[in-house]
Amino acid sequence: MDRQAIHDTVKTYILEQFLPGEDPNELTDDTPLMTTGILDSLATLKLVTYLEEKFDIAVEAHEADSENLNTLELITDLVARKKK
Amino acid sequence: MSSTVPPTSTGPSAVRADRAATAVPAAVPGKFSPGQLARFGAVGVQLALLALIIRTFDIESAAFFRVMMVACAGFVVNHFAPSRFRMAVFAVISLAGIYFVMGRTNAIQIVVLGSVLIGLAHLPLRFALRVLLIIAVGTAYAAMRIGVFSLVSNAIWPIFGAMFMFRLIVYLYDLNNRAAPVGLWRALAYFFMLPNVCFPLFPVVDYKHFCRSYYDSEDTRIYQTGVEWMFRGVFQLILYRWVYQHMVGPEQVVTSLDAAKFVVSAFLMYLKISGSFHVIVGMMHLFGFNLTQANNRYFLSQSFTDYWRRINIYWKDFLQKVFFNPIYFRLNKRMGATASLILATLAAFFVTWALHSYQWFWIRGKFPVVWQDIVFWSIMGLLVLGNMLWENKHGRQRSLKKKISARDELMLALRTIGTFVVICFSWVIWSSESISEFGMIVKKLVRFDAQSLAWIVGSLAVLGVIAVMVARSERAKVGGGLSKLKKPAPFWLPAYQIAASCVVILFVAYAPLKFHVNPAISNVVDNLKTSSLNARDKQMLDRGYYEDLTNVVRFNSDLGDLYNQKPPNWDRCWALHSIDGFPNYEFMPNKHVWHKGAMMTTNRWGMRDRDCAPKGAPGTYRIALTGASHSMGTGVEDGEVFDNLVEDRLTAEHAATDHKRYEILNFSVSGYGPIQQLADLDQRILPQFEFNALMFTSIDDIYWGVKDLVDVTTHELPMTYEPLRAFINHAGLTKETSVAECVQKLNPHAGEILAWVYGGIVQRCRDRNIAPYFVVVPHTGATDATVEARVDQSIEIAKTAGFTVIDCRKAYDGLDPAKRWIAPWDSHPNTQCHHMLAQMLYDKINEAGL
Repeated sequence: MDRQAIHDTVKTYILEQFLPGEDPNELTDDTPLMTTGILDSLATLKLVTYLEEKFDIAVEAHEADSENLNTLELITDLVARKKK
Repeated sequence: MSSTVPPTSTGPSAVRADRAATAVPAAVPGKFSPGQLARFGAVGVQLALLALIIRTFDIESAAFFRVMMVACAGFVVNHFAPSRFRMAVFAVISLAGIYFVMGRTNAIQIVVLGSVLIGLAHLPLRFALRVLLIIAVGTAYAAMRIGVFSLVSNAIWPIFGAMFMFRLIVYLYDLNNRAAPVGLWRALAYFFMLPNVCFPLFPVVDYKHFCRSYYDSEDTRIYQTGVEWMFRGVFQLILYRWVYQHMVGPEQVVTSLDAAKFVVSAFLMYLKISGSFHVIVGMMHLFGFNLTQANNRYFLSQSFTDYWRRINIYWKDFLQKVFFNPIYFRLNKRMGATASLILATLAAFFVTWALHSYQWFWIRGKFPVVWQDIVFWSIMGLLVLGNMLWENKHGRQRSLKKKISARDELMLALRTIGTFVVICFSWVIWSSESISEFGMIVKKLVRFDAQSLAWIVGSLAVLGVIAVMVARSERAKVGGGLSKLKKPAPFWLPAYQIAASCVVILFVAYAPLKFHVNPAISNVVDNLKTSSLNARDKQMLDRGYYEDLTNVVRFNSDLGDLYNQKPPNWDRCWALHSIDGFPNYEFMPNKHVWHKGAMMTTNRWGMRDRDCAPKGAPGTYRIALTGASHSMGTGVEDGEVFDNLVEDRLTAEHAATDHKRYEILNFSVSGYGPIQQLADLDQRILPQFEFNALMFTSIDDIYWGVKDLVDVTTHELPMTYEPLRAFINHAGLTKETSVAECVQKLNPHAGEILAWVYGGIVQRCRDRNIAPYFVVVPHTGATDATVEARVDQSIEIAKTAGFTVIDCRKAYDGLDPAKRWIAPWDSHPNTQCHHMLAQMLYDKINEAGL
């Protein structure tokens, strides 16, 4: 799966799960997700579980933070790195 | 240690963290431009105004003002320092702060002990071995903390503990995961960060966040945010002072409105913590650390998970990172999401309880295991868990739309009110002395009268409206789309607002000095400008209700600050021993002990006095003196107690004329109330000694009389005076009744109790041809109208009973109240007070022709 596909899959999931009804164009690559509360603790765990299942990767406990999950770009980076 | 990520650290997160931590923002090259200088100057002006407020209102402590001065000077130095040296500059400023606050020796000890731990964390050994070594050294430090042995000053432990007890855990975690860069200056800056030296309760700053947030935005914007948060913090600390000065004790709760105020004020005590945390995090911003806001409108939480996030995000993040996530991720693969969520949440709250007690261990030197903590954290854990499971199943509403329906707003208001009420109650449980005290408050609360009900419902409705308005305001900020979230915060508007607010606060503070202001308003402002115990705590301190201080000071930082300075065993009097009966303790004979900073000696009769015979020599006028600690001379040396001074002077002055000798026999025992003094008269004094006059000393017997009966009830002491036993029985008091409820039920009868006791004493004197005198000794601190009214009432009762009153309440007038105590944490009168009381008593004795 290429980077763009990962990006689109994750974006679709976030919009459907956590921001239903929001304009997809508003969720850009650098929109802060964790620091603004869009992804709270529970949503972060859900997202990680989804990423692990969808992309068949393992995310470590210390990786589930804003450094890796705060924006769409960072999430895409994380998945792409794990897929290598 | 290297200055960047160690060679073994090749993880991408470490590389990114390092890049972020060492990146220099674009604003730095232009810091000498007129625009940037103007912004820097604006921050400086706000900072100066804040410093003036901190000084005017005596915020926190003298140490805090010193740190503020260091921060102001350091702010300028740090800003103009070359970017690559800024971290080192901050580390040096932080170390200087420790030196200025703690002194050279203590500062060296803190740095050396801390450096040992940091050094161990970086030894070229396996991680597990390094952790074991740190635990071993930490155990040795803990042994020193509780006095098993001592190599360093005891004064350093609260601050040293605050610096290392949690941050070392986070540091090791990040070190193990190579999540952030390391370096000598960065480590020193992280562990010894400037504000910590005067705030033992400190947010658990995450090391990775500390590194990544460093100058991650335009510098003057970071500074401005810092000043805003410091202002909020200072404002909250002033507000806390107002709440603290006006809060009622459980024994003062009468109506349901009183109960509601009590419940809310228990929660409002957190203003002290949130105010401090705002100041701390704000101060860190002045040095480029763009840290997260610690507390965010926690009174407006809409759910328990929301509350858990808002009340202290640093704690929640620390717990999640080091405990919750590792447990959840490990279990999730085996047990599934829901079971792992439950177990990880319960484990996280168990750890929270344990770490809170661990925190108190370093700060106070005791590891409290009390039912209140266990119940509180269990309730919080279950509430948050329930909320999480519900959100896990149903999802949480996340909307960035500008408008939501009226129904949704109503639900938001109701959720906020519901959460607030439940949290307030859990805080009352946490701060209650006993379950029965909590039960009493609830009983009072549900006995609604119309006026109280109107106030309570109205106040909750206002809270709901505020929640809706704030939510609207927050939505307006991001309304119209997610892109608004990325918009940088404005600079000048908040700068003007903060400066103007500071000027207004300073005007309010100084206006009463310059203009004619209503005395009531002036009094409120004066109280806000002074850090002192509230009336209830002063009374409790005087009366020794705070026996188990570890429990009390968990919720009372003002008392806690005082007690933190108190040497171990300060309250222990080695000359006292327990006896069967009432009173249930007395002085042992022929003891010479150190007590509360002075040597005290008891004679062969177990009196804190010189030796005496049961009968006086011919020509000797003997006065028996009864009383409590103020009359016994707690904290002053032998021979300096006021009765000794009066006795010496009377004898010396009469030696040249009528050769009359005076003896004052001091039978006072610390903690004795009027009923105990009556029992002592009956059992010891009257059967054994002959004297001409009795001086019964009193400080606030309306209160002390009730306390005696409360002690009889709660400690199941024998009470042979049946009329007094009847008061207990009629009130339905038992050993299980809380102190607050006992006080509340006996208070209405305090006058009758005292009249019976005083009448009995006077009758005994008359039967033996002894002249009864009632000596009113003064409080060492300022007293409020309530206390004065009680003292007036006890004087009237004494007069009615037949005492001759000698009123010495003005004995300490002219002496600064701050210079009257034997120690900052102990309100007993010092030697100078005893000399002043002796002077007044001598004059009054002469006036009375005794």
